Amino acid sequence: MRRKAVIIMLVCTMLMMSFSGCGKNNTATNNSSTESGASGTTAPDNTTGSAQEEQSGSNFNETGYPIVNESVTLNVMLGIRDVDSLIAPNEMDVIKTLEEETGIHVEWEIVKGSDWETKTNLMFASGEYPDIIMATTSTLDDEEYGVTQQLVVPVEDLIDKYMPNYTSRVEAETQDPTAGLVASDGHTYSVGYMVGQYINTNQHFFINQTWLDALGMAMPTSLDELTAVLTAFATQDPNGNGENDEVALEMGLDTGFYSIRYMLPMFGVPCDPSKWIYIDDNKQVQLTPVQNGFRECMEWLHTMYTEGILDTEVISQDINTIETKLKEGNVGFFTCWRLTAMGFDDGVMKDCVLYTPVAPEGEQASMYKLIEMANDGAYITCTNDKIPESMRWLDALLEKETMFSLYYGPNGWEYNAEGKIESTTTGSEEIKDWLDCNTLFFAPGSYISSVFQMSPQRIEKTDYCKEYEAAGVMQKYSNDYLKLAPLTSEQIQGTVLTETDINNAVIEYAAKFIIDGVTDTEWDKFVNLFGDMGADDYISVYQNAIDQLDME
Amino acid sequence: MVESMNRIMKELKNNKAFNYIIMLSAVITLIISLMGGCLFFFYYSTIYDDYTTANDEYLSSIVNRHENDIQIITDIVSQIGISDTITEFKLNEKPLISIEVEQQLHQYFSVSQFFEQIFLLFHEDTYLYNNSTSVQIDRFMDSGVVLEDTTKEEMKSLLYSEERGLKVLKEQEIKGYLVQKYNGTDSKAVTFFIPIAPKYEATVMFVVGNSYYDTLLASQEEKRETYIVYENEVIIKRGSLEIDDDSIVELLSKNKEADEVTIQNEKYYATIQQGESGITYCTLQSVSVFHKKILYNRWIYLFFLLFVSMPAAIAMIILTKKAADRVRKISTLLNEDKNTEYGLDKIENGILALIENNIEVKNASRSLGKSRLIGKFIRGEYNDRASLIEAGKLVGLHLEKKYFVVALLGDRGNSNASEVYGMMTSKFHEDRIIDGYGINLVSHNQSLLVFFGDETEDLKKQLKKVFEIGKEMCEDTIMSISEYHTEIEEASQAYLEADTAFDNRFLVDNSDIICFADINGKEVDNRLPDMYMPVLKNAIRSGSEEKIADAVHEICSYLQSRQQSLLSFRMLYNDILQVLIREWRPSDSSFKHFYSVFTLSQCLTVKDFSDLLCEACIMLIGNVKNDENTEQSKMETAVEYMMGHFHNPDLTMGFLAEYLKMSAVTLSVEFKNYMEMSPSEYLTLLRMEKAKELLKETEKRIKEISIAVGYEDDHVFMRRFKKYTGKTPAQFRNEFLENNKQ
Repeated sequence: MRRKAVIIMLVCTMLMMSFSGCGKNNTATNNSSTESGASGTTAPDNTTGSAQEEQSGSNFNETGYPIVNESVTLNVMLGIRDVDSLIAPNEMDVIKTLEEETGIHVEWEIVKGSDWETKTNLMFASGEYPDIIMATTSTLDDEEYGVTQQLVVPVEDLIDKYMPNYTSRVEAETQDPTAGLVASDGHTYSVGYMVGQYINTNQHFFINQTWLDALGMAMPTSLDELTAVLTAFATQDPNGNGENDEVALEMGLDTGFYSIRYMLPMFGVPCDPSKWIYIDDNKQVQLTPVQNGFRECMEWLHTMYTEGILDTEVISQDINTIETKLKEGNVGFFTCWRLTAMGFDDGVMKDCVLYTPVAPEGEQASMYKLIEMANDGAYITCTNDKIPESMRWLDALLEKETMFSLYYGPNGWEYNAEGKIESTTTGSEEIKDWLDCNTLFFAPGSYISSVFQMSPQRIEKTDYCKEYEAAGVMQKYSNDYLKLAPLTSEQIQGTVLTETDINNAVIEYAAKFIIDGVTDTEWDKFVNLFGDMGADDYISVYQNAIDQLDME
Repeated sequence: MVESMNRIMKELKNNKAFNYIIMLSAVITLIISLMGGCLFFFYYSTIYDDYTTANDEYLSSIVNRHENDIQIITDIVSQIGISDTITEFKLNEKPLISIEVEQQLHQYFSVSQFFEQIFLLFHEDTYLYNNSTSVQIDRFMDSGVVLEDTTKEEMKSLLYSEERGLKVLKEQEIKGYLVQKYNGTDSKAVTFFIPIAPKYEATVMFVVGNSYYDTLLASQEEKRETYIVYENEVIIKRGSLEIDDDSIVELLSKNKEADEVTIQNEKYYATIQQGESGITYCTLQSVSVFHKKILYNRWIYLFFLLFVSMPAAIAMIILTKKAADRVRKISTLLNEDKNTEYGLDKIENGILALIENNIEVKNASRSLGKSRLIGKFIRGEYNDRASLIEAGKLVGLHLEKKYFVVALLGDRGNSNASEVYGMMTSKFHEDRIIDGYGINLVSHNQSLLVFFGDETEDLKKQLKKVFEIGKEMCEDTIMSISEYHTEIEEASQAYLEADTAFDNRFLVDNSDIICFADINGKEVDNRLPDMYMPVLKNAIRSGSEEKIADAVHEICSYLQSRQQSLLSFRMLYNDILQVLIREWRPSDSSFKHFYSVFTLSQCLTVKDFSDLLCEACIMLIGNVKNDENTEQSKMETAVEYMMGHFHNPDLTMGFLAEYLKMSAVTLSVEFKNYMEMSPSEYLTLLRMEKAKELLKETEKRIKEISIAVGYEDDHVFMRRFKKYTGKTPAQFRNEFLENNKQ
């Protein structure tokens, strides 16, 4: 009887011990921790951090180089792009220099982008994790692996403590670029990756200045003026070849940056590339297609179409055809990403200039404001027992010269006359002995523009953005807060379906509106579609999410 | 080394075996060459078939795949033609249809493994559509799709053509933003134009990248080129041959089937197939590939040839060896010396020797045959003259003469009998007037000669000659002769006559030939009364030795009572024996030897005779039992029945005939043939014999005996008995009793 009891107790104990993996209960927790089974909260993680700190001891230097006195080895899993052919990282001069400097030796596991998902799944299932996962050109689901499974650890406090380079750059921005890395539980699970462009909006309006000059017309400052100008373009043969072959207004139905959706800001609807919802000036999430501005835009486009101002092929052509036309240059008015480095040199780039949108009477143009966000860069796994060393090592990667050497190669950059780093790579090497854009690169907009000689196309866009900012045509609250809004995995899944439905409906009806015009019955029918799609729930999900945010 | 070689060569040359070896080698070589030739022909045609079949299959798979894909695009065009959603429109009039068009084209595009691009043009309008965009026609031709070898006008005319049927632009460089962005790495393409039936107011254009054809027309083999030709233009070709397109077009205009062709002084094997779409497919392969295959595989062929020729050669050698062995054996047989030289002339000589030998043997056997004939003749085994003459011919004796005479020669000492013989016989053999032969009676120390001639004078002369020769050899020569007979049956008698005369040699002058006619005057009555033989036969048939002894004794008594001479005794006995032998034909040759006239001539007393006869009869008993002549079985049955029922007074011939299921006439005829007496005579015999037995051994009254043997009327019995025996029953009994008392 007694023997039976003892056996049962032993079995129970064994079972209990087997349930405590590297999951809910942090086995690395020291004996003093009596809490059990709680989902990840800050408390155990703090103890983790400090516990590890205690263990590091005298080998570790909190500041300065080397990071460790005696060599320490870290295991890093690095994802690279499929197109990259790199030599072994430890053979690279840059890495060797880094190792000498930091005293940290790294064992690299290189994973190609197409294998990334498979490899990470396997790796997490196997129970054997590297110390650091660098998902610079890939991505890792922080909700799944961080919030839910706790296989990667929160790093916000560690960043504050061990990554001065990173922190300083974040703080230099007007808006926190790492805000998008915050997970639904409030923790940040990754160090950010960011190649700043220093822009605040993506699409811009362009008008053919040459034609304006040819017709002796001034830059339009109202929608009516714009309409008149476009009519003149279409009818008065501004290119002087004796034929009315000009395409006054060029756009496509759903053709990237040349889409009709980018006309909406002119009508006060700040439409963004990905969603058909936006945040209005009152911090309210609105459904784009049901807005008045949307209708007005459609009506205006219809007029343009029927009068032959809008390209006949508006609903049939694709992005390549549009770009071909832009390359040819016989276009009067359009939206796009930029003119430089697009192949438009002999086309629209010669003739066109930025146009600041003007709304119809009584309305304000509202361009979609872009917040440059960092993507996820590096993660620390739960089995990493050298977390301070790892954090400092990551920060070492961000040292300016190291960072650019890793990005462009040790001979791929130089200081120009203004003391800014300028890229000299031709990009023609087959096999690179630097990590290229796969390295941890963190250079938000203002930082990068201050230390790096931005390429002409970047500068072009930065100038446009400044102009629009000055003109006050940017939306008040960036739609990107919708991206920042922390949604759970389930919520995200739900929204994706609704978004697809909304998109299909909008495109379909937009085509009809442009061709046939907007009647009240058709408009009402259109508006009522969205109710059936669950758009209200969709909006409320986002509304709740952004209500929790501190939007600037 | 060379010396020994020379020696061997010389030896071989001397030895006929050398020739033999040469011949053998020649034959083997011939056979192997023939086999080789056949095998090579077979090998060649097999390789050729493989070659042509490989070509066929290669081309067929290409044709199937390509035609299939052409069919697919044709079907696409038909579908577009009958589609409700895709109807003719102008973009500026009904632009929404363009979305439908693009969607539909996208469906075809996304599943295609053939074409890289699909473009639709409604002739009314100026816009083409592909799966994602519309393109204005001028822009299309300027920068959308630009073909190196096709002018814009040509392309436009193809696009706007109202002719029915497929049009193809051959493979050429293709550029343009519509194909660059979409195509992978294809820099060349083949373009197909298919108008939409039935109105032909729209055309669909398909762009097929060169990577498709690279895969389709891929071949591991060298010296092959495959062409796809349409409307006398080479659309696409892949391969390593460098033949200009015009030659190919020319070739295809002449040939429709697979054939060997010569182009630019090179030989090729062309396989041609026509596709349903009107496209012609042709693959050329240099014939040198085929030749290479032949050469390459020649080891297989040679190995096979070796493999097959080895057993053939071995078999040949074994066979010739066997034949040679036979020849050698024959040679050794023919030549006594074990000389290993086996030449054909040796064999020839041997054979000649054999033939001579054979003749000698034949002659010898002839002599033997002659002796046998004489012996048989004397024993009386020839039933008639014809068979004697026949037998004589077989052994080389001419016996169709009228007279014959038997002569006996005796002498002391046996000096060179065969030589004497030879001389004697050869003499008259040459003459041919007389013919005959002799045998040696070893037991009697005599020579028996029989001469046949047409005139007794000739015979006399011959005999005289022989006697003189005999006298020359040996003074003590005695010769006795028989009378001159004409009947063959009297041969034994003639011998006995000669024998008797010979026995009288002490009584007469034997410096001359002793003639039987001189010494014997008595007439010989050698007839035995009729009743004695049947009794004897019956006794033999019954198988009882006692009865035989009794019958023999009776015969002897009769002969004694008649006081026959020795000669007549002998002759009589000979006759009896002949009869018995004829009756039962004993196959036992020892019987013939033992009971012949020669043994009779040795019998001197009556007892000798009776013993001899008894023995002979007893021996014949065995034969009786063995005689299973089914033809006579009925008669045997009859005899048996009679023997068992003779005491029945009702036994009549009619009853017997009925019992045997034959007619009375048949019965009497058959019975007489079988028993040499009629059934009633035999019945009487049985009864009389039984009566005699009863009279001798019992004291029954005559009347009783009469009834016992089957005669109801004793008077009839007494009469018959007297007729049969010559005495009355009472007399017979009394005589017997008196004899027995003594």
